[in-house]
Amino acid sequence: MTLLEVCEWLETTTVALAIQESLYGFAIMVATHILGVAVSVGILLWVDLRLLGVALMRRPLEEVYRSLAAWFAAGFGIMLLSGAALFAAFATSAYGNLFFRIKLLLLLLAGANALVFHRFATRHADAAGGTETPAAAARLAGLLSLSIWAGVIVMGRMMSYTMFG
Amino acid sequence: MIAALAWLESTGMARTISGSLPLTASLSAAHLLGFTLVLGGAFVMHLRLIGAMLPRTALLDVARPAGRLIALGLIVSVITGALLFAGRASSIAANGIFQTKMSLLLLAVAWQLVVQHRLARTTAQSPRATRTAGVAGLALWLGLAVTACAFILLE
Repeated sequence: MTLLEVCEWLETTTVALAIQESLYGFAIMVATHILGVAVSVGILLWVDLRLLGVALMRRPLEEVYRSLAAWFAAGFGIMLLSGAALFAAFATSAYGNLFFRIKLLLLLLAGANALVFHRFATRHADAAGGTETPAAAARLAGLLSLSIWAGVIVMGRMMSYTMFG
Repeated sequence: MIAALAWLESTGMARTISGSLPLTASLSAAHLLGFTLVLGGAFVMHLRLIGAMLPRTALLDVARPAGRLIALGLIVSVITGALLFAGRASSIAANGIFQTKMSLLLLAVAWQLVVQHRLARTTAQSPRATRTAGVAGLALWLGLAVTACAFILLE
């Protein structure tokens, strides 16, 4: 089974058909997806600003990270589920869309950055006692995360204009 | 009013925007980036006021950067929003969801200014008043977010 065949099969699943055929299904999914994006990236923004040393500097990074993580995860979960459902409904045209491919790549980069840099930075900030100016690695992680997520949002918008226009 | 909207639509700039898909898509992307800054600032600040987030961080340490994020985001999204509006002014102005969105925007900004002002002036806050302010602010900004997302779909 090629990737394209997987995409064709996805479009025949129950979820995909429900979105394609119902009057408001698509609209509600897109709205939910964008709301999830704005909430999750908006929260992550604070972690990135803390990593950059711009905001919340009087509390340790670890504490900020812990307090925001659950809220970020909730927004991210909503974004992921609605995104997956939308993808299923329009899998073949998304598969061929350049912006979608860039967006997926950026999401992978964001994940890698979160796993490697955020973890690394959190541990180091902790060892140093927490509240002083973050190390260069931490600032780089924050800057990368901000740029990658801005890219994800831009690609998402571009994708929707080029797929359904 | 109708004549003014029709004139706005007929300006060279408005025609350039409505006639160009790449330009409309780019403005829309920038609009969403600005909106994300606004929502990120508002969401975290009001959840802090409610007591659900960053409980050990001082109110002002959250409220100040939140105010800046909201202001920066508003500048970006209001400018890009106005340009997008110009392209299809008459049909958008007549839209009920758009009117609700603008009303909620004005209310949310007014409320934000009041709360921000009070937080900066008074040192002792009653927990109950703080929580109420947080709930009201969260409701206004989330209401704006929901109507904004609903409005996207009319395109």
